[in-house]
Amino acid sequence: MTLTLLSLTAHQLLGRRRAILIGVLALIPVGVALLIRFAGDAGSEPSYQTAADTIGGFVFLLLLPIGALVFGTSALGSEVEDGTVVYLLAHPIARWRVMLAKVVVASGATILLTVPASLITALVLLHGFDSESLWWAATVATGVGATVYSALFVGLSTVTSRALIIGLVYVFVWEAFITNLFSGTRWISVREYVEGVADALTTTRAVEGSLDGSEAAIASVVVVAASLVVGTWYLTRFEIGERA
Amino acid sequence: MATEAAKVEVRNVSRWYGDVVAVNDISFTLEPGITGLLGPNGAGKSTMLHMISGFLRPSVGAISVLGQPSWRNPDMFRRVGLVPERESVYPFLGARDFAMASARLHGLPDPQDAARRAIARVELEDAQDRPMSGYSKGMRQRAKIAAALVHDPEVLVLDEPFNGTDPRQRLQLMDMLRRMAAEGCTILFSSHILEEVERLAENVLVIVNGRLAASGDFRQIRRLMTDRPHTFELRTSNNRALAAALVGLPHVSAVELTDSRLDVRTTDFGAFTAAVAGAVRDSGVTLQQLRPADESLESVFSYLVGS
Repeated sequence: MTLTLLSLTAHQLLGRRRAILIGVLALIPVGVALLIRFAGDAGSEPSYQTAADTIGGFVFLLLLPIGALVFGTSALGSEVEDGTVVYLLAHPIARWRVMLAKVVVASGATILLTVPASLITALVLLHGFDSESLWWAATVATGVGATVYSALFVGLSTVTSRALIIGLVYVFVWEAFITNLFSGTRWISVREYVEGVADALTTTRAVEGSLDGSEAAIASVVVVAASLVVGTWYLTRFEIGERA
Repeated sequence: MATEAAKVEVRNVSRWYGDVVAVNDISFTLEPGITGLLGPNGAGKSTMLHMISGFLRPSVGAISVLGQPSWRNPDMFRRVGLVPERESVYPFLGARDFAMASARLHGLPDPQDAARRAIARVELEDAQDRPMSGYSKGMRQRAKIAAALVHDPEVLVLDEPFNGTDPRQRLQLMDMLRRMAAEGCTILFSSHILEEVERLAENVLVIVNGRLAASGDFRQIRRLMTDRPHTFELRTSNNRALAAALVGLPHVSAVELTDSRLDVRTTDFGAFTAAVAGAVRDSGVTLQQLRPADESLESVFSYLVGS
């Protein structure tokens, strides 16, 4: 049953043209890294700061939230939109299973998209040499971010049909501006969790998170769990007549 | 509590969206057999079906299916099948894989066999391995029905199931539904095509403006409409002689002679059918045909919708 749920969701999500378009996005940080390495002055020597800035700017700030937003809001939202969600819900399946399957597939797709990009970017800019574990930190932080963002956006898509717009506002207004203005809001910023995890796993000072590693990990677990609970709650009360 | 025989019980159910009342205080029960849900567009048919299948919460009232509430009860689908109206299907699957996925989601012990039987029931074997993206509308309908049948449901809810099907497919699906009903399945289907409902449904539920305008056998419903005169068509050896005899009866309101038949309008169905034999005998004619002319579902429906 669970495998069928996962397989149907994966087919729906990865078979779409938007997955290919998002895949192209993953080439951006790698392309920037290659440019810096082979065409820029800064790339002549391995630089943790350059690597951290590139990963932070192009993976953490751009690729990760956009990829998770697209996959997270599509995992359930596109099925609601085209009406196929009824084929899942008209079965004797506990709604938490449906929700979990959606989060697992959306997270998996986002990880597949972002983690290789993050890893390759780090390796290219560090010339394959890394004594400060930056590539490892970036990889784990990207994986954590992919999971948290995806869970959040899948949960959001159960609450509203405008999850994509709200998600964009969250990423590009709340996380980009509000979190910088008010330090207390860092607890409700997935980007801060990602940077906190990365900071905890690397010894270089090039990465600085405002949350420490354990705070970021706990906050990440709380957001994933809350998204699952809230998503299941809404899915249980899902009124298909209004939205599908 | 639902009565033992009632597979579906709808009690004083209303549903509204803001200020708009979609369904207004409807009650009925369904027993094994085929029931057609009929009504003009926007009458509340889909809202009713969504509530019965647990995808909409009634604003007031209660719905039970097989003795259990339908709202927030996914377990109900162990014994209930649903064919939604929307045409969309998983485009990347063939009908067989679609039915098999449904069987797996039901946790059936032999999903392959269940899918094979369901595909055979809807006669879609030839196309079962082609992706549904290339299916015609009728083929998609049959694939959806196959997926809803894999677990041999006791209650089957179908929203406009014949949309897009060609006449041969329609007949085949109707035969299949009749066989299922004969085996004890409770089938509720909606349709905007009167002929489909007339040919298939033993009972009808007519919804007009969110209210249940009538329920039961449509011929019975017609007979209960005492405010509408009934029309009979008669053919006899001498229509003019019989017309003269009938026009004197107190419940006969109009008699019309045409080239080959006699049309009689009466205000009392029972009194007329009791008196017509005597009138035929007294006028010395031979009765060749006597049939109610406005007992079709179309007549009943137009009376109900127009009233």
